[in-house]
Amino acid sequence: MKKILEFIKWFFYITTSVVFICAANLTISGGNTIFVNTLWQILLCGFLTALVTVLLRPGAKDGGKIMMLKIIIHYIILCVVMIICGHWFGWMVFSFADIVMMLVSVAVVYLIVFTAGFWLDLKGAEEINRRLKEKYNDKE
Amino acid sequence: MKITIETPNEGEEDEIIVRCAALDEKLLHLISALKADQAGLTGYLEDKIVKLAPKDIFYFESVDNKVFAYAGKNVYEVHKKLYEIEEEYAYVDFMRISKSAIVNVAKIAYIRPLLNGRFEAKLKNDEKIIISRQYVIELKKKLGI
Repeated sequence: MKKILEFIKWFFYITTSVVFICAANLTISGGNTIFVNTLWQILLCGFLTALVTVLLRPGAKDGGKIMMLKIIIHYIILCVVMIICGHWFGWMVFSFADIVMMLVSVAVVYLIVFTAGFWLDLKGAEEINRRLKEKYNDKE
Repeated sequence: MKITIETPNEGEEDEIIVRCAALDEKLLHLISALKADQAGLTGYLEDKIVKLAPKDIFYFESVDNKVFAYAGKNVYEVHKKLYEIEEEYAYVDFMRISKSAIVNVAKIAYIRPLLNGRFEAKLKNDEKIIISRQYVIELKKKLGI
């Protein structure tokens, strides 16, 4: 159950970020059309990358170098999944420029998702600290 | 709720009688706190046996099948299982924060998230302990968030 909830969380985080990247790409490239198929393809990519994330994301016990190594492996596998999907869906060809573009896009999504998650954790911690202060420090 | 305090007759033991239609969360909390405070906890430090007051304990940790109580500068071995402590002190300020630790929430100075998804609690004696992600939700519940 915990894994399913985690999967749903990552699915929404990643899919939202991919939609954001697509919107940015379309805006920059001057495009104004997105096909229904593309929306389903984005959802499928969100599904696959969320699955990879649940399985490979650094665990709570990992620290230091192991965490860094796992982040790099996680990122590489995400890139592989996205390059295969991107080629399959016709978003890119196997050219240097397209692959670099995909690597950058995955890195941006990674950064957005990581930052959003950390920001939510910070807000959660702030709320807890406020409550701790009210409940315990005020007594002292 | 009406609170009555009576002075016992000479020679009689102090006694607390709870008269209520049903035991609610607040009463259970109160009773548990009184029991825990009264029972105390026995800590072993080398050849010394010490009665520990729960309010002085910062956290409990299980290491190699032994449970230790961290009370400021001293670390006492406690001859109890972690789950027993968790049950006994459930209604006081103690709560589990990882598979191997139970913290006294009143002793937490603040918490902060770490990059690996865990949280770190800085205690009022400047020690730092790790809170597993899943227990952060429990901590929020305990604090009424």
